[in-house]
Amino acid sequence: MNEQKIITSLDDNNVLLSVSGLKKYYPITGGLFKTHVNDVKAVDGISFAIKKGETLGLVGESGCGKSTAGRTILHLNKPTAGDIKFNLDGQMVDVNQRSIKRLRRHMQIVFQDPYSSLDPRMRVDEIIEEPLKAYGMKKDERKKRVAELLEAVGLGKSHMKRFPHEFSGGQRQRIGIARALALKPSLVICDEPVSALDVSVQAQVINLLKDLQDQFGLTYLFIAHDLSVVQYVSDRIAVMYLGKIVEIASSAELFLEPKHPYTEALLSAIPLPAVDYDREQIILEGDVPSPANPPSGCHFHTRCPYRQEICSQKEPSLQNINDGHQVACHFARELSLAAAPVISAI
Amino acid sequence: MVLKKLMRNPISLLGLIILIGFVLVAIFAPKLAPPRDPEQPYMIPRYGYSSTPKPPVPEHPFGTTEGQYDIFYGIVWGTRTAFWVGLFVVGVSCAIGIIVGSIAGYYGGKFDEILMRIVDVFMSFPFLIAAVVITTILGRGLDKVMLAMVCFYWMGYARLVRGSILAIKEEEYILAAKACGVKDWQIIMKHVLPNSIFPVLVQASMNIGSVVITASGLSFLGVGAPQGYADWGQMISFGRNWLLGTPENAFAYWYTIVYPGLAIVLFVLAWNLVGDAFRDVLDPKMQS
Repeated sequence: MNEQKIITSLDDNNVLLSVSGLKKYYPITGGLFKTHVNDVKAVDGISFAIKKGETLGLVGESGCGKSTAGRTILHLNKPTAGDIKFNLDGQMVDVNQRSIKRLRRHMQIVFQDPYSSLDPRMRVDEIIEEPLKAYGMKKDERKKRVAELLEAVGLGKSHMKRFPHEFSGGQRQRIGIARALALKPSLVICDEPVSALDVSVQAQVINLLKDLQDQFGLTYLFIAHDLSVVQYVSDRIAVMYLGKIVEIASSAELFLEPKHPYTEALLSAIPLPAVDYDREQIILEGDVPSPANPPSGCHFHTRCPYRQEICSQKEPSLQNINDGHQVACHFARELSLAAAPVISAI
Repeated sequence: MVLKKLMRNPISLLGLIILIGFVLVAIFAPKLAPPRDPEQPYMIPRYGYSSTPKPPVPEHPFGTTEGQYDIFYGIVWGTRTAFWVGLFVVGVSCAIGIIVGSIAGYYGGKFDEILMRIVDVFMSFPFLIAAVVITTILGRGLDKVMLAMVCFYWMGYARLVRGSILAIKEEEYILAAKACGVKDWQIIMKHVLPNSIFPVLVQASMNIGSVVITASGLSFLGVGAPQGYADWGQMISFGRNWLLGTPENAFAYWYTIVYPGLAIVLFVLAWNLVGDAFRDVLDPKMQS
């Protein structure tokens, strides 16, 4: 029906991962016989591509499906529909139930909660060597690699034999990062890697991720809800609302010239480090509608300050506004929206 | 290593010492109290047929209880009965519970629904009445009591295992292992089971004590071991009529109750202390 087309102005040779029409529905069952009543449309047909070596930020509020999208790409959840293609040595390979076994070593994930993502009964070296073991590396090689990885993430050999609970949140996240890097992947999906950490530690971990990217030529899909964090790490940013991507643009362009009303609202909500600064904040009315029962037409129309009649009737598709800037809004060209209040100098 | 840690805590050390004491008694029972009839070592020898208990004398260090059963002999051989009942009932019901619980928890859906409803049915019986009914149907005897107890003990373990597997399944480290390419059965063996089975082991070690109490209770009610069988519960049941002593001396027959009672209390206490210590030792967070 309203399938979003893949619109990539990216040179295909440079694409590491391309996702098109990805859907993940969770069935709702009800009644005595558990019949299928409806679906929670957690991810409802998203398409994007990531270039080698770049960081694509994926933002959106809680429950918009961004984490589900990340996990579905890695087949940790079975996708309901859609194509995922991964560039393996110059060849675009279909990511499916079968090929995923081969591809796992190239695509890894860093989880949000460093307290739940490490097995409490395993020591640090066991945790980090688990993927190496799964891929049949010999014991002495594993030992060497674990030491290398610990050093790369800023931990020492002395930490090897400890249990996860002996570490702070930031250190635990470093262990999680070391595990993700163990197999030398090219793509790392960072699923809100810093949102569970203290602000002071967030910066350290983000800088570590950036350093590692330079060092190992990694490509990141960086999922987060904190726009300032995303802006700092991302080359391009995709904004998600209710299971759909509403806008993709380069980081600078998105902040300077947002084209979607939802992006504008998100930007205006970024807290500023100034007390006396008077500004007009866009406060969205109402709650996020249920992904089981999304509004007709444009999913955002129930909360959009610029809505017109067409918005509730026809769903806008993701369109190219200008080079690489894609928006899903009927009035993307007409509206002139406010930029982010202050773009930090980082 | 586990043992070393158990030793470090004085309370668990106490539990361990008591437990080892009981084990030694059970092992050396034939030396401590040589059976009169080696064919039937569990039958307590009688020294007369008078119903009035007789106080301790050198030949009968703990005295004789109603019917002139030797209390010392009953306690010593009763230790073997207690271990046998406790380990068997807990072992078998634990095994059933783990199998049922892990199937229900891991596969979920219809399996879970059916198995848990069966658990509910079993749980809805009042245990004592059900046990009495079963032993009435099958006849008196320790083996029947154990069977009845297994029938009504496994549900707790099934629920415990299912619950912890459900919780563990949602943990991100399971997803992480999956993302690393670890195979399904390896995830179950290395992540799911180790993290869900320890609560069960702790629970089981603590339950061994309470199983013995329940078995004693059934023996006390007269549905347990046959008359004269070396069983602590029965020893107490023998002393039931002598609890109050004589009008002149309220504690005239104290030995009929105190020795078997002490044996049960110490046995249960030891398992509880060891179980408690187990929990601390098996939890990596408690090690430092």
